[in-house]
Amino acid sequence: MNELQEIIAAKRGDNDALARLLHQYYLFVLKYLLQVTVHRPTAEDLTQDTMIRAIEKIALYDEQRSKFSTWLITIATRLYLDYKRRRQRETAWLSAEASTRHLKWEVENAQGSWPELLDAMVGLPKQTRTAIVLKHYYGYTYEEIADMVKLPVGTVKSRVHHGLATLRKEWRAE
Amino acid sequence: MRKKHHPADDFVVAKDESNPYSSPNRADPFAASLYDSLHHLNEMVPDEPPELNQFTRLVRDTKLQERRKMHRDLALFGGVATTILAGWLLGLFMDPAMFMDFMLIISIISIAATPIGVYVRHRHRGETSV
Repeated sequence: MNELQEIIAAKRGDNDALARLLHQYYLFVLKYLLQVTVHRPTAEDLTQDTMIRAIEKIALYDEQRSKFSTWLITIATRLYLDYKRRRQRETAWLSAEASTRHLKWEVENAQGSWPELLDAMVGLPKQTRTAIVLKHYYGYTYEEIADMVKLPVGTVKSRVHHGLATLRKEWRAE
Repeated sequence: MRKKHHPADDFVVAKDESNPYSSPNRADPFAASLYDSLHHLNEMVPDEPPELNQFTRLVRDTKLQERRKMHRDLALFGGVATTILAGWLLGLFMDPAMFMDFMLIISIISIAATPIGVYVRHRHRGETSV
């Protein structure tokens, strides 16, 4: 069964087809969320939430409008931004540096080094960081990103531009 | 019409449709460094996803929970609707005159509230459209 057939079957209520699709895209979503959160437990929790939301909303997925991966990334992005909004007050005391310390330690142990640019990424506002990852790692268009984060295209472009300017400055300083 | 240029467009990353991950723009060392830094994090994710049967179980459990929630909501809605209807019927049979007065008052309030609601919504829209 190809992907489109799996999607159609999943939308018709085939649990096994839906499970196979989610199994196939699980790591893709986890990697994306790890890049935007830079925090493994949050990325894992949000990946699980993305899977559950996809199960609940599979009937609403329109295969003509977007790829399945894009639909999952959209769900994951919105869940992440909602999560950050909810947690903003609770974790105001927790610095960005403190929240990524454990992952930094894990990466340094496994790969020997931690890219300095990631520290600068962590310092960016969440929506800017998300837009930069979506644009410059996954290659989504500004229109697609604007749709995902529910912001005007001009705002997304402006955030990406300012975010990149900040990152470039940090990168030159390294 | 020619697309308006934005400074962020200078930072070009080629999108490879066959690959969910785009290729970095190696001509720009900063772009390549940003891409590689993000790619570094991918190495921390296991190569294999959890077993397929875990997803099967997740799908089954989530759908079961959804169905239970729907039944609970339907029962709640049915209960509230029955209570309201029972109250109306009781009022109608116990004291029809009072019930008719009550219905008249409710109708007048509803009719009066409509233009107020439209006005408030219109005013709100006027404020937010600026």
